[in-house]
Amino acid sequence: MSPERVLTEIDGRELSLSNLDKVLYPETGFTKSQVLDYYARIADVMLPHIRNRPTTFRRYPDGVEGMSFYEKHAPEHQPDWITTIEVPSKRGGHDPIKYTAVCDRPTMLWAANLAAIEFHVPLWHVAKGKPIPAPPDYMVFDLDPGPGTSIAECCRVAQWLAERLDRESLFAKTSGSKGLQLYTRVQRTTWDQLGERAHEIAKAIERDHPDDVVSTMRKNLRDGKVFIDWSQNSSSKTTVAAYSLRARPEPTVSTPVSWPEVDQCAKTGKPEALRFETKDVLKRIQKYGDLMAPLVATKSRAKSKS
Amino acid sequence: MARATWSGFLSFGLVSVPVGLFSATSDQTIHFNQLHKNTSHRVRYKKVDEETGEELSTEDIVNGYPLGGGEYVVVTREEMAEAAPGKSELIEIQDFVDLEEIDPIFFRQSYYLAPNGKGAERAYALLLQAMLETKKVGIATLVLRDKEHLVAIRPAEKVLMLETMFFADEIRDPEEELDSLPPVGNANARELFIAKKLVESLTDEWDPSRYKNTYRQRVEELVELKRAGHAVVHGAEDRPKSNVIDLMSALQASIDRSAKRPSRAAARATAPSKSASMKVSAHRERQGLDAMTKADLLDRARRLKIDVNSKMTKPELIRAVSEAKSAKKKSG
Repeated sequence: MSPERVLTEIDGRELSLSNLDKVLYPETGFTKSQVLDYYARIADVMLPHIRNRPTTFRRYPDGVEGMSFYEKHAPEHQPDWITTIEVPSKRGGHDPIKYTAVCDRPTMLWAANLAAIEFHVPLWHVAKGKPIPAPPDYMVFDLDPGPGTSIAECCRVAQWLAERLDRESLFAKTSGSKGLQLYTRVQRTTWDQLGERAHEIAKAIERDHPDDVVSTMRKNLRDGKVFIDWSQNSSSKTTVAAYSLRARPEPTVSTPVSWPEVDQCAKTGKPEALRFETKDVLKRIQKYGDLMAPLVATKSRAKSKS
Repeated sequence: MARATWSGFLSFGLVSVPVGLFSATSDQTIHFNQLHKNTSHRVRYKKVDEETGEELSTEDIVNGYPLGGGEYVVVTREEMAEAAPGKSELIEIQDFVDLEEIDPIFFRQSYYLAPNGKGAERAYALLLQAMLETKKVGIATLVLRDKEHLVAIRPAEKVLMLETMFFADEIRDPEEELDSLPPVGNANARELFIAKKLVESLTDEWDPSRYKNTYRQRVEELVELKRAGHAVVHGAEDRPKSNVIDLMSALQASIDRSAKRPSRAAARATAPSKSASMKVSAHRERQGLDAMTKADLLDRARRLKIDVNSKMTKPELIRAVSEAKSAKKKSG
């Protein structure tokens, strides 16, 4: 018999969990308790990537094959120990949105219990003395493989990006879906400058490799090419967080990968080499730690200097 | 007093009266919030990109005028604003007509016009009296909320009314809308006599208070009954009565329970090849393939190590993938 609801305790917080036995991934039978178990185990490495960032949850109350919605507004009934961030609308178009900030493990599990399978965060974080939205922390390139291409082709494009930007400071992660995302740290940059610079880089790579790369949104141009989505370099845009689960048929994860892995995948053309499920990711953490940790760590170094 | 929806001047000839506009009617429909049946959370409408599912904010959205065949002319908000009529502060009566001449079909919504300020009262009263005695209605145009309206200014007993109206091209022609309309005027004289008697016998004074919205009353009673009976749901979570247990052990207990239940994929793999359940699952899987994009299918095909290329059509890919899958199952 499965209890509908259990009252649990984690890190000194009480959490009421519901429908733990519910299957959220019907194809593989992956349940809500397995989703929560994954997030509980990954929290330590995932939290530095999302802490103090207004988080948009993609919730799947009826599992990954059911209806889903993007949740920006922090629910009114959320426990009072959860941090929220009020973000004013860009041009005063609507009331400010009160977001949830996932700053600790109980908050992460509280969200996952609401069937928030995917965590999406912006490129900025809240900090004392900074405006909201704050200036950008990172520049991101979201490489989206068009029809007839895969993450292997994205790896080739990542290599070209690495030729333009410093390989040491460029970090790759799988989207957990089909593509690859590249992050690099930026400093003293405005959002306008960031967007322009990302667009220029995307256009330059498209110019050098017109048969393989496209930098415009138009869907009909993407056949056999990788789309470099530079447009996420905006304060109002979010990208799936590192280590977030994705709502795919299998419980795949947006997973940081090393440059040797990227090179290898580009060389062999085997996309399955860069496809990681929850159990794979937990093993990788044991083996490599957080491959994207230096991206976050440079922030604290920059902080201590100032 | 309620706030005026609009204020400006009512003018005719050389007279102009400062006036305010107030809604004369109120909607008494019972409004419900939509809740998610399972969680009692509020349901929201979100605007999403039809292709990507991405949620959009107002600034991401432009208007496209459809040309057919998937082609659009994009018109920006700025361009729309340029075409919009300027804010008007004036209701200028262009003509006076007899009220009976206006078919009620033209009327949209009723507003009260109130004199704005002490100095306006004399001119307002004068205009009202003149219109009452001549039994005339003034026709004017007015810009309200960025839209141009045709309006009728009509005298009621104590107040001037403003009725917003449809423009002539917004009224549908009954002969175009309805299939069969019999000719009128050919009725049998005796039958007509009896019909008219019947109408007269049922004729009464018009008393709107005699007609009640009984549906609304029943819904109100239902809501009150349920509220009084504490049949109220909370969006917030109820506290379970069980004892507090360690989160990780609660999860482990659930995972252990679920481990005994085979997944859909495992069920497919172990099902006897000719059973009905096999057919059902094959069909379901086939449906799943249909729902996939071409890129997904190519991805799936590569994982199954099938020789495919991006030039293949979607049906070809579906066939290739489902054949490879069933072959794999038979061999395994």
